Amino acid sequence: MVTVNLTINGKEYSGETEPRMLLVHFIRDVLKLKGTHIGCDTGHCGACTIQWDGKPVKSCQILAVQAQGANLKTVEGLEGPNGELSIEQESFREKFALQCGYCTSGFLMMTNYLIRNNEEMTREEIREKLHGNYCMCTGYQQIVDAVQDAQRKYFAQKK
Amino acid sequence: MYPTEFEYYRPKTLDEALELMKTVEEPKVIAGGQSLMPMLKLRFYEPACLIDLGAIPELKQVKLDEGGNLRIGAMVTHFEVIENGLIRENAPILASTAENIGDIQIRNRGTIGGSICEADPSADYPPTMFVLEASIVLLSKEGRRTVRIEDFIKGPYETDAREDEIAVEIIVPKSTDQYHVEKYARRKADFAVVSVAAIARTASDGSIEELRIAAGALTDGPERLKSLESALKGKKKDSVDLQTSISETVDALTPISDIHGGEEYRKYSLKMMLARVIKELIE
Amino acid sequence: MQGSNSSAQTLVYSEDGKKSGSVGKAVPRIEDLKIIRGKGGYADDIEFADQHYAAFHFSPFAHAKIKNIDISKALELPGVIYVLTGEEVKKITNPMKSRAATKSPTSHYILAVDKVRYMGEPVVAVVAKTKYIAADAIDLIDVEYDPLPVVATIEDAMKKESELIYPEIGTNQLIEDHFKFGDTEKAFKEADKIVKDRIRIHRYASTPLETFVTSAFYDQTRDELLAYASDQQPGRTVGSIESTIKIPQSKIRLIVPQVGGGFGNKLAIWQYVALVSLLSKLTGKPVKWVQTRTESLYAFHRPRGFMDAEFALRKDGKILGARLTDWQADGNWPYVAALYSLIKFANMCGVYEIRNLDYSYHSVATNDPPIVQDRGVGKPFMSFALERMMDKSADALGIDRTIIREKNFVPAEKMPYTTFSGEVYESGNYPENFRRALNFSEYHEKLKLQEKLRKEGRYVGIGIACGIEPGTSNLGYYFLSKEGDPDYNGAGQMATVEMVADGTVKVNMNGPEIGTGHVTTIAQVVSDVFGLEPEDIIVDGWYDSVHGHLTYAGTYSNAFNDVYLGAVMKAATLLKEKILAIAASLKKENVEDLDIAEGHVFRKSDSEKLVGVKELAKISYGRLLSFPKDQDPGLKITASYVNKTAKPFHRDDFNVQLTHSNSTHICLVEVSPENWNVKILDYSIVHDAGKVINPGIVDGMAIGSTVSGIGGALYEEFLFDEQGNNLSLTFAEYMKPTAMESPEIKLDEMESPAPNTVFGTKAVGEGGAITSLGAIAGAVEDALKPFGVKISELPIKPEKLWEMVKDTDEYKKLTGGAN
Repeated sequence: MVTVNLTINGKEYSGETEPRMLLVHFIRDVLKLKGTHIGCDTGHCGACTIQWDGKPVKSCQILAVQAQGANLKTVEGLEGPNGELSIEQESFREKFALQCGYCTSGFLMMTNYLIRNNEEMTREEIREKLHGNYCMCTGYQQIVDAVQDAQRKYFAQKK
Repeated sequence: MYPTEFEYYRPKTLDEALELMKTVEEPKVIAGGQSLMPMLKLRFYEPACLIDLGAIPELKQVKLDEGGNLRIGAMVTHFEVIENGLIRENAPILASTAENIGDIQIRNRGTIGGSICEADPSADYPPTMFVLEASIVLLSKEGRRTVRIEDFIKGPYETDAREDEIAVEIIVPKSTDQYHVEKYARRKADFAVVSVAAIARTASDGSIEELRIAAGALTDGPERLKSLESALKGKKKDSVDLQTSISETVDALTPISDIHGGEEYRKYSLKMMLARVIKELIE
Repeated sequence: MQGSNSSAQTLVYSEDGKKSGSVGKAVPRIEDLKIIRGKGGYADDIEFADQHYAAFHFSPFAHAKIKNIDISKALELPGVIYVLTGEEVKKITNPMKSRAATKSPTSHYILAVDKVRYMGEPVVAVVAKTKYIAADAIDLIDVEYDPLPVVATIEDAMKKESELIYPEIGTNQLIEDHFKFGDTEKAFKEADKIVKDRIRIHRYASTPLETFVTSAFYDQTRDELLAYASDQQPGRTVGSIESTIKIPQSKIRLIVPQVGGGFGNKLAIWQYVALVSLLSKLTGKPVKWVQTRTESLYAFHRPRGFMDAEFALRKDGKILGARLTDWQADGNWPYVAALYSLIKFANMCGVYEIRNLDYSYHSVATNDPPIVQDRGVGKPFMSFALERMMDKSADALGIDRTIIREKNFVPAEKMPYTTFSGEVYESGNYPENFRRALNFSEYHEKLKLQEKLRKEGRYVGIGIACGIEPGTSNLGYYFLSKEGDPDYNGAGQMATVEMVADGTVKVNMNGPEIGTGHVTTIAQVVSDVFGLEPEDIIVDGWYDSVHGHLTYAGTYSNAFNDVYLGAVMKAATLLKEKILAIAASLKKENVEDLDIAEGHVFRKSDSEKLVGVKELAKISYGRLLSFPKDQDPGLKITASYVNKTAKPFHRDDFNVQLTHSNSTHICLVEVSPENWNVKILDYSIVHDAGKVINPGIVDGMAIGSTVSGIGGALYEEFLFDEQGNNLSLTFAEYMKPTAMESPEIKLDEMESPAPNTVFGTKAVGEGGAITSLGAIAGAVEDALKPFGVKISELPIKPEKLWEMVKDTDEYKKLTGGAN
């Protein structure tokens, strides 16, 4: 067993793990942060998307031991200190961008990254940037609506 | 899914890593892990020992050497290949190639060295590396050697690297000629059904001065299409019989045949793609 | 509005019939507030103390005898506490039974006994301390198989010498039946033209992103089972646990937390709920199973099959009669055999008037994996076959594809319309829907665009499909081909509405929330009853069997807008009446003069507030001495509701579903001559789902279901080799459309209220999956008209198109003969 120390959402965590344990299992089963989900075995679906140093990665494609000392962010880190919804959370709700919600954490972590690291994106660009995240319910249209909306809000906030 | 048990090492220096490669039993290098992790999870691959190169800073550098060649550390991520100014300037085709790989999340973890060493016959980098005439630097306790990409990739999932060797660097000669890199897959993240990388330079008199073309998604791994290159090189662009030359070259290839496309279909598509790509490049 | 539900409706609609309150508004979803914070509470988020994990050895063969199972090495692995095999299962459980077959198989257990019938059938179960150890243990199990000849296709299965999937039945044809309506023989005699085709459907599935997850703890001190599952039909699961592993229903508590997508697939989880429950009972430990994606792709898909269709046509395009013969490879899970064939009666004539129709069906067992009720069940295929036949008929008669449809629509004045078999289309205006769609999609401009692009050498086509989207299953249609009374039905639901002692209104719909916005929709309708805001109402999105349920309780068959709302409104209305009666007694008023709003009971004539609701709740629960003598204390009402338009089953007059939405889909596609890939350039829908309670939710399902149909039409297919091996076990091979492959969908709506539901709502959730297939196929066929390509099967893969075009003259022109 190895002790892995890392930071998630600004808070320090420590947990015991075998080297073979996936980071997503470590986050869910050891650290009990259940917002990050698992939707496939092969890195296709993006349900497990988190941020590592601010960049989105798939936490099922990484071993927990590789994240020793890492600075991570998960869906639980989006809301404000008093539970205020973040702009992407707001937009997803307002635009009906989730149905079953199982893929939503991954999409939110992508959106949080994309709206801050791109010029104003067209719908086509948003679709291209989100192709590593599967949604089986919405057909993606309202997700694209939400990302556009969140980016508009982000730019307005920045002004 | 759940990988089988293995020993895990995370060396902090290249020396430490090379020592481990020599001493532990059946060492397997993990770079970004974006190809390896699914194999571990599906238990298609059950390594005894993983050597993680993630903590070795020198493998993450991009430099330009005195000969004007790019030297790209094996642990440079696809994201960095796209973003890096030196690469964009000196081998823009490489940056464009990286944009086709996986998705944003995969590109943030996956590395150029990991991808090349995987030697997947449908992967994105190899055709580009072939036309760039890149080389791989292999290091072991026994010493250093540099292998041309065409000699390094020996076949599908097979490379020239010995068990104790680590691919540390990719040497990419500067290339700012016209280029085109393209893959056809039904979805962007999928492995190529048909893929082409090409660079070309036309002289002021309209003749084709330089042309290098490689195709991927072939049964025996990527190939330089040398017969096609020589049929066209030196010719005036309006005097070439493109269709016949392409047909002769492609008919001699053996594309992969699987549920994403059979051999004949892929040949057809490859011909069509080549015709368009070459026409665009020499115009 | 008719019948016993009228009181509910008057509460929501004011006298001039206009909506009041929140019904009809795109109220943001209440359930989102948890989910977007990462606190959705899905089945895998729930852990028991001392949680143990199950894993299964799944058969690597499609058909084989089990010669020997060696579990010794697995038992020696530290952390492994139990290994279960078929031998033990045969001793302590009952086999699974067929619902429809006259002769049910008797040899198919929840874990394979003696032989395996599909690749991926569970053969051995392990219980261990962690998921990882459970997986290690599976690798240590040595099963010796003796392969049997594989029955790969319907044709194989029907051969005399074919290996039998269930030897005890004596045939691979589990069920067949023949129905005749009207005078089809005469229709065919009088026809100007007869058009025939064999239309095929492939294996695909909706693959919810959350896989099967179930956990169970059998409490030996109380002999009671507590199980959690991502289950869509828990009412049935409770019964199936009893019938297979013999725990009495009275000793089962089953809870369904937030489900990460259902689409029907999660109706099949019950076998694993039973298995995990059994494992807990045998070990005394809480046991959880989280299915991996690969395991989820092994089994529970739509069946593949084909339909031989024949239309008798008058030369003006009128359909005089039809003969349909449906063959479905229903895999080998006896449970739902024939379902895909029988449910087709719900949309067999689509939006068209066809009075003379012969229908035969054959449900055939093969070594394909089991099937499940995937989004729309047999109706997408039925609609696909019908719309293909409409296009083919138009082509054969040399008339326009729009004209033949207009010629055959059920006229609006015939609504409600009873189809040839007794299905009642309760309302709708199909010709108007079609006209609007032509207009909305700018169909005539598209024709011009197509002409222009064709001249530029581009292969662009337009597809049209009109479809019915049925809802609420009158499930007993299994008994059409079998003696006896159906002992289950999907036309009813039970719900509880209460005002607790602090005055808060709580609703328990007691059905799973699978992503379809039930919590919000219920909060909307109930808040209107009590004059509150939706967020004031607490709706429990979890199913819990302790609250009581009708036999087949669950979230399936687009039934929510009908029976869930029916039951909730009934309970809410009764509760409101009770509250008003108590207030009337206390304040010495006439009950009919009172109403509730904004937390008070008031007098309608002068809006005077008489008493606060909180006060009334306090009185009703606690101040029992001052409580009115003519009332009972407590404010909790459980009510059951059944849609009374469900008919009993007679072979010549029956309805399989009770509400019928409809839509027209029109799309524009382009096929690349470089690789024959299909790109959707434009997609328009005009949808009629009756009254809409929350347009945000309904639009989302109309769009989402369409993209799921597009996936089936263009990308998704489970492929098998001749040995029955599933070749599509990851998302690399089983190709879901991503945001890049999904088109922007333009959506317009009509509202033809259903007369047989409380709010006039109809089916929502499957429409796009049903109707899109025909639109896409029609568009691709149209695009490739210069090649003379005919599309009779899906999915439309580039390579298949290339095979179809490569020997044509147009192709030679295109390639200059060099390819």
